Amino acid sequence: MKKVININFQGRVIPIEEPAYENLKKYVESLRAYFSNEEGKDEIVNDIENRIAELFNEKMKAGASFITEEHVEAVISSMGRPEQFDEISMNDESASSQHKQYQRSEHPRGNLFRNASDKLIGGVCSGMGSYFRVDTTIIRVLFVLLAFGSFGFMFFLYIILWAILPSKYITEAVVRRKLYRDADHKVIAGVLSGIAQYFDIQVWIPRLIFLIPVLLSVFKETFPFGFPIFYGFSGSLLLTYIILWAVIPKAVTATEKMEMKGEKIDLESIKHKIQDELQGVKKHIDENKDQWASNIKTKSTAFAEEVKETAKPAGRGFLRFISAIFKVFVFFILGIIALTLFALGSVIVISGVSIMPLKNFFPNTGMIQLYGWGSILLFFLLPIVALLVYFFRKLAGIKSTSSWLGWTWGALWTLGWISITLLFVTISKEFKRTGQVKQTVQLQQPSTGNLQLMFTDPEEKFYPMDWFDLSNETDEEMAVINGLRLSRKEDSILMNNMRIRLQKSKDDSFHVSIVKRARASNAADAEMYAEQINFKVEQTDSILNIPYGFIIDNKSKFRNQQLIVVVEVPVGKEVYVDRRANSLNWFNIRGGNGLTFNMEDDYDNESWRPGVWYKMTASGIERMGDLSDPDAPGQPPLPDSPIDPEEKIERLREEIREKEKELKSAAIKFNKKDTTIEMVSGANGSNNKISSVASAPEQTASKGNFQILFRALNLLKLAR
Amino acid sequence: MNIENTQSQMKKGVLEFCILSIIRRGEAYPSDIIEEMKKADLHILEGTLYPLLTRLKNADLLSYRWVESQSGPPRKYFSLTDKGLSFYAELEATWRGMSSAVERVINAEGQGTRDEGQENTEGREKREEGEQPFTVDS
Repeated sequence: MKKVININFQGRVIPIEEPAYENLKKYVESLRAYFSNEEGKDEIVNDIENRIAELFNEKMKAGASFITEEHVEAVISSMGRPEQFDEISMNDESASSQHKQYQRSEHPRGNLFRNASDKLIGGVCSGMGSYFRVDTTIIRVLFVLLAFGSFGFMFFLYIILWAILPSKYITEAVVRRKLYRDADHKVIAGVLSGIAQYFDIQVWIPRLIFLIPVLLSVFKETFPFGFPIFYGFSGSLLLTYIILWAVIPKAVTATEKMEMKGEKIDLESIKHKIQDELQGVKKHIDENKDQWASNIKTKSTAFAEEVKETAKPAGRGFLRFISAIFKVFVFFILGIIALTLFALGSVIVISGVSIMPLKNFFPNTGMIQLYGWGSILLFFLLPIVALLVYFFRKLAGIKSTSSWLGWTWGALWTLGWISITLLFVTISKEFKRTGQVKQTVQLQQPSTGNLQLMFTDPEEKFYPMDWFDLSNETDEEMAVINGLRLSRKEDSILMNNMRIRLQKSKDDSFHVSIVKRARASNAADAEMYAEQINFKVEQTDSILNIPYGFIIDNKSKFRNQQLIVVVEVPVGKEVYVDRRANSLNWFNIRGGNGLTFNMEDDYDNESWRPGVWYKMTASGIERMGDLSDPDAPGQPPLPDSPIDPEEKIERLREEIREKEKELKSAAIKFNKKDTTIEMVSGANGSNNKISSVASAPEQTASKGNFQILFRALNLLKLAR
Repeated sequence: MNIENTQSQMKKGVLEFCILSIIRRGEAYPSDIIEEMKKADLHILEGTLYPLLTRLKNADLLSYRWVESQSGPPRKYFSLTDKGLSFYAELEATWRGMSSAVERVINAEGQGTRDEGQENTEGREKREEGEQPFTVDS
């Protein structure tokens, strides 16, 4: 449905569709611009208009009830567009050279002005744009970027320039390149092609730049380093592309296409110009020193006037000035917000990509997948993109002609809300019921009469989830932070969502049982998942080796599996739990009505701590050693206590030295990376050779040493 | 050096001459000129014809009169002025001389280099003569 309007064209009334009229108007304007330097420009354009009117008349006589876009298009193509004239026309040399001269000197760069005819605030950027013959939008974006980068320096520069530069109505459009989307040479939307046109480079250059990260991601297997970055980077590029797509207008009319190809941005000439000008300024200063004082005075008065002008509706006098400054300020704040959002969007994309490996472990029914993507794209990314688009459109001075864009944003975001709600509901369902399985471990009663719970690391190496995949270090601290560790093949994860519980035994022997838990939408499934937890405890006399975490493969998925090792200690017997129990991560996800997640950093709220010997008494568990003396052997300081690591190491050394009496020989070798401990103990009458090799990451040398020394201490206790 | 450029240069040179020659035969309306050129396989855009006509008119080579038309606004019919006629005569002489010279050059293939050289010189002289009116008027 198009509106048909009547126009008076060359003295005739012509009914014409509105869009067709717009095209016709633009075409005539482009002709006028093209012939603007010709001697009889009015006559030429008039003749052409005349002819067009005649052709329209013919169309009407042939039975058309009004002029359509197709008619206009046909007429224009038979008349030819201005950019075709240079190629085929018989415009003689002088005309086309005149034309070039028009581009070069018609609008002398002259002095830097503020452009009063195209301004958002004071016209500074616009003036600079016409001075350097660069698209004003680019200057504006650069300005905002710099304002962000320079912490407001640009903001002051803007005000200074506003005050210094004279204002001028630069009415004639300066012939310069404008950034358009080049729809004629497009692959997706012509963004990159338009960029290539603007910078006068081959179109494959920007395309390659945009494609490289994508290509690199494809060759992931070949380059096993830092991949999420490339994923994320290509994600950000995609985001950038979409924003550019929305922001940059498409070159439709001849004029726009001409503007797109426009004059080459000539850096050399800009340089010369600036050099010339600097010399000129020097001369000028020498000649007119005296005039300057009075000049500045008048200028500042004029500036004050203008600031008042800008802030007209706001109030009087000083208030006006304040509000003008405020306007600038708000503008830059908006810019900063937009950029922050952009950064945030990139981060979401990057981090979203880096948890991709974990995706396989989520209970992922098709619905969760769908809602998950829906929430990421529509709920999180969409508003960011929308705000950025809004902001840059503002900068580019594009006025939205239709409201469909707003409606689309709104509708899509509503979808985002729906999918995030559904996502939570669905996930919550998956974690609704708990299933529990209890297994008893066959235990031989230890000969020493006490039991020591030590953690062992799984054979397969597991790596902490590193957001940016910058390092593959097996740093203990990282594992503590992330809780989850991923196998090299990314097909299984190691979780240490487990607890150790010490209880009083009913009889006079040790009992160990393992409680496995998992969650699912129904109890039977949950029990099945709990059963699937792979966890084996091994005993060597008094030492109970407990895997430090359990492994879940991508078939059984993440079901908030939990594990409790219940140790029943008979009265009068001693028990020790590996200090690493401190870094077990216990967390809970509860579904049902809503989804709750809680995490307990503390190992346990029970009355005992790991890394200390305890004795079971009739009244309960009791710590061994003197409680009042923190340096007592039974009570080494906790790793979490805010004591200097060096101090801790010293303390542990002390302890080891004390124990050394029982040792036949002990050798601790510290290297930069590896530390070896070799000890021969004679405590049990036999020569036990205990050795431990540990690696300490370079950065945390002191912490590493601390761990090694602590292990040595444990070994000594073991040998006791 | 691309072929299109050379071709359009060649075309440029003769277009003015062709247009004048069409108008010389009798009053002509721009779209008639286009039609006639089309028949002769010389395609030009209408949009480029109008500025050319205006330029020739401003150089007093052409004059026009308004003729009422049934199909639309009044039309401009162009005819040659006296100055235009003599201008055309000169152009025609140049063209005839040049085309026969060019023919001879093209057909001289395979003959002695000395002959070719002579003809080349001849051709260049003629061209220089012929070009003078162009430079004066533009």
